Amino acid sequence: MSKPLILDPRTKLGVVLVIGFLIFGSTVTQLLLLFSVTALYGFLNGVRRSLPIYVLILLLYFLSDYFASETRNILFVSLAFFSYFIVCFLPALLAGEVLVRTPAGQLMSALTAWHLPKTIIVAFSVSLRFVPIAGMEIRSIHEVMKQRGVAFFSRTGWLHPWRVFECALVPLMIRLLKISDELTASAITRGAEAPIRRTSVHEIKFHFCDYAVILLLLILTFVLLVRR
Amino acid sequence: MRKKFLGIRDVVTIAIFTAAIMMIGSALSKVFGVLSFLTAGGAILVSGAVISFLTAPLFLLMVLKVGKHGAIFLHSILYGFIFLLAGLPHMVIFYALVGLIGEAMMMPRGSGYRHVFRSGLACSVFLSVKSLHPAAILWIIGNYNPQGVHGYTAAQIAKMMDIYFNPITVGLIFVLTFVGSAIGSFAGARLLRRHFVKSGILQINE
Repeated sequence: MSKPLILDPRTKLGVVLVIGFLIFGSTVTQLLLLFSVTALYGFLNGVRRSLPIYVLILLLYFLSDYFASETRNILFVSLAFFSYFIVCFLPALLAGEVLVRTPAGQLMSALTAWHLPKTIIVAFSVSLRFVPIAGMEIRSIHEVMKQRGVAFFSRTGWLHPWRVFECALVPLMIRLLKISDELTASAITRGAEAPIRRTSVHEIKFHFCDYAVILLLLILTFVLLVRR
Repeated sequence: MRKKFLGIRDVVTIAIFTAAIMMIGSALSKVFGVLSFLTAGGAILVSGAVISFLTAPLFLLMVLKVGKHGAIFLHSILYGFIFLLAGLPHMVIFYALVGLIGEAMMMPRGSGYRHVFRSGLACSVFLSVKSLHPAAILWIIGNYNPQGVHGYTAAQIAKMMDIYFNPITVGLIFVLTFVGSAIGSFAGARLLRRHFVKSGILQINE
């Protein structure tokens, strides 16, 4: 399998912003065009495992839309209506996934080059990196709760909701505070509080690929805006 | 000496709690999205209340642990940035305004950020205003392109929008979420006193 493209994180952020604005006001055909372009962009940038899921959602929309127009059944119409809203965001979600996969250090260096406040850069990078970890923590707490017989949908869960509430939230809160302490120590060790400008081993610079992506994005924007 | 402005520790704490609150919120939103099919949209009315009830203790702990002005605003802005990645750049403005409302609740300087009742009230107001974000998303999409589905006519979509933007519906969502988050804050404060204040992890003013 070919290696993913190496893009400047600022290009990735620019793609997310432009796609985010373009999805509004687009017809279904234009959304399909946007989706095809971002799917190719995602594929070239290493988003390969989740790509079939996006395609499946798109197929679900077309299927429910077809049945909605044929049968006028309220279930299909509702499904088509809600899946349309999800389909609207697929191109932006794909572009967002490419950005989320960027290593935190590289993203921080790129945002520093844009002279964004340090508070925003650190908070944004940490929260992006922590979203999947938060999911893992919640799942592992639920696993332990199941072993102790206080799972959400167990008998105890229905009979003593307060106990379940406490058993779920207290370990999560303790864990979040512990992780925040560890991350703070790690950030301070790496000089996050230093008053001088942050240096990085990552070379933040626009390459040929970045210019090509920006040019293609400008062409796409022009085509879509002219067609409206 | 305590720093007056947000330090690295505070920023990391806010970022981590924001990610956790976001995870819980998005998981429950998916459940309520499915339930709304079965209850003809009724689940949408209570989804904000349930999500706020469960996330209020986390929000309260975040606010009390950081204990400095700017915590609610940064949390809100981060929420907006995460929506930006999902293709909704407009939501950054919505969340900036919601964050300012949350900060305004703590405005008289003093021990606001360490006071359980004040923090709980700010949490309830903040989460109630935040619960209107699906309405904001619908408004944005509805205004741009209301005809994406063949089964619906423009008139039907306009009617749907009318139902959602009916002052009674919006008011009901706001009130239910306020009640949910107030109960969540109360329960959260009890948990914090029992497990965190006693062990010295957290210092609060009653």
